[in-house]
Amino acid sequence: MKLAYSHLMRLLKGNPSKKEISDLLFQLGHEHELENNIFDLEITPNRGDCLSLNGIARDLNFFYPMKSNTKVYSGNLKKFNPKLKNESEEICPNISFLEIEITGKVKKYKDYLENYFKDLGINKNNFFTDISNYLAYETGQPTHCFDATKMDGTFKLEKRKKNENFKTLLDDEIELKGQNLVFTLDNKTISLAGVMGGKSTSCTNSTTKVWVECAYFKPEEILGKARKYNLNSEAAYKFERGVDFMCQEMVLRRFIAIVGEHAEIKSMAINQNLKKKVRHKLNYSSKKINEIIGDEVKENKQVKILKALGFEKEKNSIVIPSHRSDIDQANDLAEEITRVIGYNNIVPKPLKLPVHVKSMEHSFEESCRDFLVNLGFFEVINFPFNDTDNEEANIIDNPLDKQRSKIRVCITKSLAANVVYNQNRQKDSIKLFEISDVYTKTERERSIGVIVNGREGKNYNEFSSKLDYSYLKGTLITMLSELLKTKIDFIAETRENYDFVEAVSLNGLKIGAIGKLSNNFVNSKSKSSVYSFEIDITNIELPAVTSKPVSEYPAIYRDLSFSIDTLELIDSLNKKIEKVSFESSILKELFVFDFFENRKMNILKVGYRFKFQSDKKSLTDKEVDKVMDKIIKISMSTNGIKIEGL
Amino acid sequence: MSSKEIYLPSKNKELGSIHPINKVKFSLEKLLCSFGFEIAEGPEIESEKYNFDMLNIPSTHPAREMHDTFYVNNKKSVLRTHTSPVQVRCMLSNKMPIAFISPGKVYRKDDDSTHLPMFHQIEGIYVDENVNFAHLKDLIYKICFSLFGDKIKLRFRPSFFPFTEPSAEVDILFGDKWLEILGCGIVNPKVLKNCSIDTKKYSGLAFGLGIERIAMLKYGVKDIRDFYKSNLDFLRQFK
Repeated sequence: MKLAYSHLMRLLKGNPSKKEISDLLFQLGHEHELENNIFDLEITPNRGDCLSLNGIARDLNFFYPMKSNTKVYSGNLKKFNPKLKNESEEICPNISFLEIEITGKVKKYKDYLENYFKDLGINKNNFFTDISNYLAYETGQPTHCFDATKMDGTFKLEKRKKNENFKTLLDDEIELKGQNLVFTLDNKTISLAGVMGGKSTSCTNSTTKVWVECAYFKPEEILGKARKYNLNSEAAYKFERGVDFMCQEMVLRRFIAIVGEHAEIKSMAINQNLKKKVRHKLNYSSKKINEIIGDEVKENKQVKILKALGFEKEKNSIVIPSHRSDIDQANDLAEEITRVIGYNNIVPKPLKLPVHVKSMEHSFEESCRDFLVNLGFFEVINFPFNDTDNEEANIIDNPLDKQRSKIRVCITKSLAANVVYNQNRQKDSIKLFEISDVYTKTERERSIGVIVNGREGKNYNEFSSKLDYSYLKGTLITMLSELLKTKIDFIAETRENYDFVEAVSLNGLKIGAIGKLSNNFVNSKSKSSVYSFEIDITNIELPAVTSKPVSEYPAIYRDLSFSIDTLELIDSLNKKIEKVSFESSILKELFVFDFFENRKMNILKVGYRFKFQSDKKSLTDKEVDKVMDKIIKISMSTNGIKIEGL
Repeated sequence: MSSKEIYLPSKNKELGSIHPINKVKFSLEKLLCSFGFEIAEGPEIESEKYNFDMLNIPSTHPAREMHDTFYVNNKKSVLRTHTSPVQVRCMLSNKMPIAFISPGKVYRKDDDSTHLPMFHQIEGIYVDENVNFAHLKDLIYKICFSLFGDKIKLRFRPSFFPFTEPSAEVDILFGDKWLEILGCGIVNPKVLKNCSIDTKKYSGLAFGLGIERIAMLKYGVKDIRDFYKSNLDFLRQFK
């Protein structure tokens, strides 16, 4: 809301400077920018009462008391009957009409009226509409002027469901749909209540007699209506935030005073229909207020502040002014008092939180993150929106666009897009991961997605090596087996979007998949291979670490080199060796230390190193040979696996 | 005599990096846990009950409109608009006193150069006997001093959040400009009542920080969208 400093000065005593006003407005919670003479205020949605010159002056009243020089017509007024049938008293409990007619020429606008248009850059319209607009600025109460000569017929305020075309006074043609609160004349909508009047009954420069409607509408009824019909309505903005439910007579009398300053009034009469009259009260205890603030503010100061803001004290209660619909509990009163004292002037009190036992352990997720970062992976965070065909995907009812109309059911698709983004920026070594919640209609999982593409590294050894399946599989196995100290199983399967893929299982439970992504899925111009894995880590926890005595006895190492006919046999060999390892108490470690493949010569060799050690004694060669014999025997039992020299 | 090997090129390895938003999130978690808070997490797809109703955000509140909040599966749920629902869950499932922080992703229906449809928050709540606004100020000073040093200037401004009363926004003076850094307040007794907490005995304080805002200030990132482009050149800066 824009408000001119000079306009405010008409209402305040004490002649404060712009800076003083600006500082106080911040203190009171009215964030703003000040440009030349104009405060551009961002009023919080609970303070509809401050959307006016009077409202802001009222809030500053404790510091700079308001002058009482605003002219309001105080004479007797005849009764007027607009014959309105209010069928929506629940929504509009208070509504008043002023019928006023002028004669002769309208005089030049007085300074305060002229400056309102000039200082705020607002276009004039016609005499009555200009006053209505100015009054909304001054009092915060929107009014609407119907040209009285166009008001012949059955006049109703009703909430009705009727599809009809409606032309606003700003010439916008809209189609009313669904339920709308409208003023009708002979069953035809003449005003979208609380939002905008219609063209058919609007005032023009030749209008001399008007019905000025001044009402209180329940905010929830007006909420969203202007947006629904794409109308820019200052009135709706005010009604949505709540106006003073008892101000109608004062506003209409002010209307008369302004008209009277600019034209000869031929006749005037008022109609009032007020159903909502009771101002709320709150129990008041200065002790309770101080308990909320955490400071000792004396009762007389509390009451002085509240009175300056328009509250009244009645014995042990506080009467809430009709313009403060936001106040309904002691905490609200505490806020009012604290605002005026200044939040910055409340002395902090040391806060000590209770101490609870907390876990000092790293989580599995944290360990994975550290592991991947140490291997040179970069963490990314993606928006979870896409347009997946997966029927299990949650659907966004009001998406930003069709491409973001679903919530992703996996991380890999986002990571693939990240790879393409970086490939398009000439990145030739891409190692990314993301850890995120992933949702389907029925489940919520915590997942890690990892993707690789391009060169393995930037040193002379790794530059020519490609990030391939074995690199990624090794990363996954190391991460899971080292951190969890358990065995990981892989089973080849077929899946959409992968050239090849293996299911990953942990302790017999399938937790994800690893594979080479298909070019169609990655959708990259680059032909280089992209590999990824994604696993569910929801219930995975790091095992408790219990220290065991370290063996002081010497270890014995043995190497074996296997010649293998086909690559497929490696998995079978591995499983057999692991079986022996599992059954042996002295075979502590085994790993592939050498791998050689020459496709032209049809040579495939795999070298294993075995570490033997006992916790109780020095091992003999005989004991080690016994296990090695088992390994040799079990491996040689497979066709296509040989050991040279045997 | 030196070996020839010392003249060979070294085999350097590249270190990856934690995402800058997570780096800031983890730092804040560590800081707030050192004050005595515990971490609580909750679902990003939430019910309207936890995201709005329990937090004193009525069905007519503008924040609940389709242009502000993402609704999911025929309005069955929402993408949480703040991490406050986690605090509601904490209040419902724990005995008083409680002190929790809830970090995580939140969603608003925005998408322009300064507003994203997803961003990160870390919110905290402390409910105990005799908790007041002066305590809240002490906590906020400690948080801000820990983040930006004890020479910074703070400004508390009254604000409005349906779930706190009184409510405040806190600005920090950077150069000659005040920058909004967090929102906070005394937990609205209506929220405590919704969680079946005896408001005669208990009161609470709450605060919330936007992690992107802190990260932008900390790292000098000018465009919030950079955090989510996954550009390796951008990410490499945060090792």
